[in-house]
Amino acid sequence: MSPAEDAGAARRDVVSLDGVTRHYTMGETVVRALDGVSFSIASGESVAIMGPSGSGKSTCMNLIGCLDRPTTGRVLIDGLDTAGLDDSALAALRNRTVGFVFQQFHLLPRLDLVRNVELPLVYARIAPRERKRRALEALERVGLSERIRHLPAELSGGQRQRVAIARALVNRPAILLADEPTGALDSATGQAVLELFKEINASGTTVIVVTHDQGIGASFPRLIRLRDGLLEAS
Amino acid sequence: MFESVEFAVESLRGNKLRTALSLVGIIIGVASVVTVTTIAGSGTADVKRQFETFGLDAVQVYPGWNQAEGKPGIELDAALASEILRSLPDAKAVLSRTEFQGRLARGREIQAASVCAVEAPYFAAMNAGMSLGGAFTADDEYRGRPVIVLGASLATALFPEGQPVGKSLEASLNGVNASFTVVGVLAAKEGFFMDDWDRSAYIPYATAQKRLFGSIGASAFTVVAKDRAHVVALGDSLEAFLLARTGNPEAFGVVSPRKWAEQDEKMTKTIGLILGGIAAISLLVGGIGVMNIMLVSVTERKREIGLRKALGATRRDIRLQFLVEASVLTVAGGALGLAFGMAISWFAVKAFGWTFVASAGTAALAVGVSVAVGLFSGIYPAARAARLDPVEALASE
Repeated sequence: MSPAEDAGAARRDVVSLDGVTRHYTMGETVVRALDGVSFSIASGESVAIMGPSGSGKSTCMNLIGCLDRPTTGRVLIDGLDTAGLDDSALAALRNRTVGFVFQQFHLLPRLDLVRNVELPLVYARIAPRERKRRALEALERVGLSERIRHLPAELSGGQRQRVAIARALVNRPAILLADEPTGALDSATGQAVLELFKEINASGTTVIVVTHDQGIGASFPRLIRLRDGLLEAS
Repeated sequence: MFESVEFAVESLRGNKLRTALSLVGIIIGVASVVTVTTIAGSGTADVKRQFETFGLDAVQVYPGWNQAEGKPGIELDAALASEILRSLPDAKAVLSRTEFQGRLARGREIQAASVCAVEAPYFAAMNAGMSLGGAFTADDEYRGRPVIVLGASLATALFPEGQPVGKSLEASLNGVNASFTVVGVLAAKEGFFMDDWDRSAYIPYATAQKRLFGSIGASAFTVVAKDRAHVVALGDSLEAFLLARTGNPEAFGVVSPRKWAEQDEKMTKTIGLILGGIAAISLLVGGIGVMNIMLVSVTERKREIGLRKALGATRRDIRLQFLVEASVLTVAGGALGLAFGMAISWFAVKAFGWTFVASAGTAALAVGVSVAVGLFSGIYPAARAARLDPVEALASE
């Protein structure tokens, strides 16, 4: 690959919001969760989206994660306009392009670690043997090669979040999208999780973390600040 | 698909008590379906067996007992026989039969047996087949030949070495002794009413009359129908005819096996209808129970549904998951119902004295019904799960 092409690839936007609004109707009142926001995130960036509660950061995450669509404006994920996609195309985009990490881990309590991590591959219709191989690989990557046949309840919070990160990475997504990933962890464990995100970003995956925590926000190379549904700083 | 079944089993195992309770209706429903079809199947097979072995195409007439006068209520003689033939257009023939208790001896083998004097067409009218030799003929009757047909077990007892046809034996009937030549042996045959075919012997009616006893009255008439389709009507008109003649319903007995068989069949059908109704209601209730459980399950697992959607599950995937879960639930119930139903019908069939007939079709029906109920009960909850908004679902408790 020539240096020019390499630079071009690095600049390619994986996320692009253009004049995005998202309004909810709650009874009589209209809630303007996002009220005209535009920004782009290039492939390989490491970004924190920050703001107090009610700032619109969760709505922003849902739009980037293809769980929701804007009221007006355009959201492009990996170059695709989510407004034009039907349910199965959106599901496929979530499956291949976005890896979710949640504050509460969201592991299925009755499945062991390997089977939890395999879930995205089930929906990608990958054969069982290959699924298992990739799940073990992802678990190794987050430093969990043992206890892989245990249930989530048998692990500590930090270990559970690592399983969730392995699950987010298993389908090799372009974007790792984390919602308050350290919110349920003590600070030391949280720090280790953020270190893991750095490693993941170093290997080329775009990392986007949504948080209200100033300290965490400050540790990211780029910070997108939202307040009252508007972009405050990027 | 395989994953869906696996997930379904996992999630059902997580709520064992609830799963078991929600299955009760399905178990009862499928058990009734299985019981209905098995009992109906065995009952029909039993009626068929009667049709094949008993003289269903003939009606038997027996004399009753006139207590006031201390004699038989009706005389089964030649005059009555010809009057029946004249009056009842459905009757083709009236065959006389008389039964004697006697002894048959061959060298040192002596057997007590009931010896029936019958007319030659009797064997055909009663669907009695021969395993060796043949029945006696109209010519044997005409000439009053001393020939005899043996029931299967009687033949074995008297001729342990086999080959009885053509050999002779001594008979002692009501104190009269005579020598008979064996012309045939009956195929083994189940008895009906008072008959014991296998332990009986048969001699020509005319031989008994001409050679042994002079004039004898018949102890029963076998009235053969012209058309087998009219045999039930023949039985009814015989009853009416004899009642008009004697004015006393106790004076005679008319046995119409076909009528009994049809009543049997009707009863089987009625039992089938009742059980079928129970089955339908239980399946409906069971299906609603499963639907309810699935709706509760969808509500409880909103977060799981949201997560699965976030990880790439389409609406179709979610719908399939809950449909499969409902079907796994009902098929598990169906399997238990099948086992219970088979056990219940086995006892019922034995109680009726029938032969137990279990068919693969019944098992297939049970599984099919279970899957159908599962799909029926799963459609609405599955659609609800599939429609959930992933953002809301993930945020729910």
